[in-house]
Amino acid sequence: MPRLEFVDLSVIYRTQTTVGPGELTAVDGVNLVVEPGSTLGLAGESGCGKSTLAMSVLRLLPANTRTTGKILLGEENVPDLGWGRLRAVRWTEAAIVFQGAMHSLNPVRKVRDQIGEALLIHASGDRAKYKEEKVRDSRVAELLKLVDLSPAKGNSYPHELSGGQKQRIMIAMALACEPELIIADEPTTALDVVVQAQVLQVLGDLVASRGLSLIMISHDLSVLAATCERIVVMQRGKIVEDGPSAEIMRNPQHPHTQALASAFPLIGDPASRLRLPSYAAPEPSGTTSGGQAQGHANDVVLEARNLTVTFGGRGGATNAVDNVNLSCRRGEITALVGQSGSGKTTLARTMLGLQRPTSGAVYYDGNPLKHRRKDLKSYRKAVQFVLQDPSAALNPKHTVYEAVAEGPRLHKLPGDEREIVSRALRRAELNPPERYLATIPQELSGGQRQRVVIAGALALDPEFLVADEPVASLDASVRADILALLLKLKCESGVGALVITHDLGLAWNIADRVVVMYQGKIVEEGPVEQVLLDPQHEYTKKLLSVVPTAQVAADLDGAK
Amino acid sequence: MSAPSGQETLPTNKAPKINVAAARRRQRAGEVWREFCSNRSGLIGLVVLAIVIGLALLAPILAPAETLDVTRITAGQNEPPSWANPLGTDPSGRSVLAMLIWGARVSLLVGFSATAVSMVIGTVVGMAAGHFTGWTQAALMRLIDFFLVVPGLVLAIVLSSIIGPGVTTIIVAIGITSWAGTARIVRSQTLTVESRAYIERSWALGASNAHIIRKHVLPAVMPLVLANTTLTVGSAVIAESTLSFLGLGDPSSISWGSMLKMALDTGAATGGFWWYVLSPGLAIVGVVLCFTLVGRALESVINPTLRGR
Amino acid sequence: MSASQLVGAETAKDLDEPGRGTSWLRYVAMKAGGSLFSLVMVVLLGFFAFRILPGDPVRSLADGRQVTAEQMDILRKQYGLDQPVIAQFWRYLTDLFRGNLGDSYTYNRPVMELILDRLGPTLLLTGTAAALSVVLGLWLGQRTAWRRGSMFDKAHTGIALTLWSVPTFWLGLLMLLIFGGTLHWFPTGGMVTAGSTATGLAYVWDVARHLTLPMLTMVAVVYAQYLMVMRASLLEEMSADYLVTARAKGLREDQVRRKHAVPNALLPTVTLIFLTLGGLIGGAVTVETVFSWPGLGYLTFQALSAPDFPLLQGTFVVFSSIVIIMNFFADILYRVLDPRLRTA
Repeated sequence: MPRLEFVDLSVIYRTQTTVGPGELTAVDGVNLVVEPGSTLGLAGESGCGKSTLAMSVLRLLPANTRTTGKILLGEENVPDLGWGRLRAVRWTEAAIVFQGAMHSLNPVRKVRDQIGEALLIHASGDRAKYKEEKVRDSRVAELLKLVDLSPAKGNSYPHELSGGQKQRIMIAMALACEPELIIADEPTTALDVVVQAQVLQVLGDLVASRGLSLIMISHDLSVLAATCERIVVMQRGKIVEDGPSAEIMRNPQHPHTQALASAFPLIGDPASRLRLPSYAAPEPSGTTSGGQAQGHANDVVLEARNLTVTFGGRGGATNAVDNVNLSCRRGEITALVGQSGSGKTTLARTMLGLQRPTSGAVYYDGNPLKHRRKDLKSYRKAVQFVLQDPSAALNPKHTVYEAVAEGPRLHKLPGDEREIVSRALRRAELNPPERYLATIPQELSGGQRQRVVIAGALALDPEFLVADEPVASLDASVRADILALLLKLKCESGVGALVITHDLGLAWNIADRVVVMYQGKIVEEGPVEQVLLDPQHEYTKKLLSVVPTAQVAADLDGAK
Repeated sequence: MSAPSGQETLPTNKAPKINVAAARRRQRAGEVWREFCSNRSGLIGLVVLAIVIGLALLAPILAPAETLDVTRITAGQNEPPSWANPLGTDPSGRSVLAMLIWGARVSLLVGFSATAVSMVIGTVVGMAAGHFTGWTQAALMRLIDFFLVVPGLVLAIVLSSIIGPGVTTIIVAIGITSWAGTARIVRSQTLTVESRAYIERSWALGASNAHIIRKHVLPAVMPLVLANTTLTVGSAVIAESTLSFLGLGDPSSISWGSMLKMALDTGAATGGFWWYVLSPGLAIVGVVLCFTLVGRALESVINPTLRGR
Repeated sequence: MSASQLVGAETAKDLDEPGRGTSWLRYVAMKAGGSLFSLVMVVLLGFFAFRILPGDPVRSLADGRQVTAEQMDILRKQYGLDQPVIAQFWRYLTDLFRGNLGDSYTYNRPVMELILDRLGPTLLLTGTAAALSVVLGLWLGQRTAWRRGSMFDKAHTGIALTLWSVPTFWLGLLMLLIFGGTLHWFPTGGMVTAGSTATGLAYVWDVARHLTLPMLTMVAVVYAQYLMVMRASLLEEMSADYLVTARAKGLREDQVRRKHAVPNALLPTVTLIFLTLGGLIGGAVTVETVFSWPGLGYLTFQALSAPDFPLLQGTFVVFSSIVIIMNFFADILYRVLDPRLRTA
């Protein structure tokens, strides 16, 4: 069984910029050994070089890269292999489960043929039998069964399969030629937590039962901890921390590891309740605590009554939002939790007046929302929107100044525009504001961009924010800072929020109340402690079962 | 690979003026120009076009109108190229070179005007079809589809045979039959832009249709329209020559197309007077090629993913 | 004439993909509705353009001829122009349904008869030219894209861009001058040698010799467009993630291209090719005129220079209908070819 070793490996991209050719070192002098039969997790944020490192194993990097150092796969140094030998090594000694199965499968070919193709290409020696179509088909059926799919699914085209099914096809494909090493590049990133757990289970079981080596790449330490014995953390192309999974999770040493770990708080751990590394809420006083606010019905600022939103027509109609009653209180953060497809984004858009309800209504300060533009205008000043992906939420052609001033201009706010913009930027903790006014979004980091979006909302001085997955597209280390900002706005300026998320940890971090949504309906709601620590509904329990909780952590410690 | 960290790369001017946006735009225009210049074939195309346009503007000086007056011609008919007439003479003894220079005026005028008509219709219809929904969109889409599918040249022939021959006729006929392609591109770009989150953000901030179109859609569509314009001028020049060749142009004004028409009518093509057949044709090919090269260069500046095409 | 879209920014990916997620029946109904709308537009335009636009239609019918007032009246009667517009329109519609497009002014024969006579030669010319262009254009397009930046690529895109800039009729004239006039390799006009009574193979050979020059002229201009479209489509596919998967599986580069990239790039290209059929027909007008090829295009030119308005109206309606109906079939074909649309 081959052993994989990186010896002083560097990968350099030649880039073409407006000022001329440049170079970017994606992997910088990495030394790493993967012993046969071991499982290794590779953690890091986007752009840290972890995917580049993985691709280098099969020499799949684009033509504008240069590698120095060695990649030893068994006895052979991959960069020195001839093309013929390299093609023979690919998929038979090491195979890759690619990130985003959506795009990694050919959209116009049946998945059966795509799996079979790998067998056919390498049908020589022991595998010569796969030249026969019958043998190949039965092997494909066998592989599909391995990943818990019925062989009939082989006749599907990729677009007919769900995300989880596609990812399983990718796993089946990777196992086709029985490689000794599997590299899984963010295999579950785009998947819902529950599906993610299933896919990880399949992958983990297969690796364990066949004694394969596994390199798993993820930005999510909890995913790695669940499947790998050892975790290596990368930052800017270098390895910054390396150790057993339990050790890294429990006691991260490097500050970067700590930042990554903070993105996945243990639910039930008081150290992360209403507390983030850069900001902690003051001790609860009367109104901020969910339990006591329950009595103040007149404190409800935003409310949905019997709200239903139906999409499609003529028989194919689906209720994205199904008779929902939801109330958000002034100066409180309500977390709306659900998987993708649960209708939570539709609910948010309807609450904002961006989508007309099919029946029912949204109430603001007790008055029903009218959908005429003129009527909506004053509402828009009071309730503002923070979007999911700040890179998309800012017009790339507009400067920060224009982006933040857009709202005040539309509402013809009185006062000095520049002063309004500066104040909003300062409230969003972009200090000093002058420094950012002339920049365009591309020059800012993801976290800074999200602050600009928040500043754009704050420029109208709203009393309530609706935030749709505000940190889902941000790197782990930035996540805590943005959440801290939301928490601070609530505690210090009384700006309440409805935060839509799939992430229970986020609710634990900042929310007062939590609402769980499943298939368009609200299945459970209440104060955070009550719902997350003592879930009643099956679905909430299922969600909690696949995220790290203090309970599980305690069990782990007990087992040691 | 990773986004620039921002902090280090930010400009640190202490007190920027409110017109930071304008300065930004100037800077961006400079970048576009530099990128365009790095495309060699595009630059060559631009230089040649500049020369041709210059020649056309200077026509009255380079080749005074009286040199084309048939009654005051001294040279013989159908003379082969010589020092006096580098490109020979036409069946009435006029200098082909002088006619070529004057012809550039009409050909380019038709090319630019027809393109302007086409671009205005295409951009407006395309943006409307992308921005609005329901009935408006359905009706506009049908209209676009119709003009996209119907054979343009045949429709142009029908239109111009009804209005009667002339330069304006040709401009209108080309303009009306060539906008659908632009409309489709503009529509798809509008849809792309409007699916971006910043449009949603703008709605949530309280924007109106006019605001969305003016501030977000139009600026995003314009570069594409610009690149498409240069490509369309090329096709319009070809279309002009084709319609003139079919006898739909103004017989009294000289364009490259009408020169070729005359070449065929007077038997220059079969009589071996190659200079009179070759020169206008090569002029068309050269100019259209230049417009195409410039258009493609602009495209690759606007859309970096097309680089290397 | 919307050819700019071919070299334009748009690669075929930008095409909307209507019908994703709708049933077959709805898709066909939607497309048929669109085509029907276009057909109705053509019929309306065919009527109103010739009768409502400025000027006395009879005067333009008799354009340039010495006609007495009595003759004008007779003409008016003959074309039903003395009746109200609505009645005229009704007559036009009912005639159209019976396949009657009126009588040609110059030929004194029913327009429909003339058109049916000329349809065969046009289909022969455009059909062979289109088939050859598609094969040549797609093949060269995928080669150039795959070897982007090579001499092969630069040479072929250069040639294609130049040919794309050539007016079709001028290229025809040059071909005529060189291969017909100077070298005498091919006949200069018509579809058969005048006065020839050849039958069987000899007839086929005669037609083939007459066909060569006009067909090559059309191919030269058209294949260049297909090459550019295919090249752009494939370039767009070349950064696709599934190609990395294919390479990782150990496929050779040519297998990656043949089995994965090209099938994906082909689908949108096919649609764009069908969309340009209108342009192809436009080319037929000029090419047939230059080579006196007895097809619909030449007929259009003859109707135009007469001018013979009933004939021009007839060719316009027939030309447009053919293109619209072919586009409808292209839409159906596209859905059959693309599994993402087929099984939705």
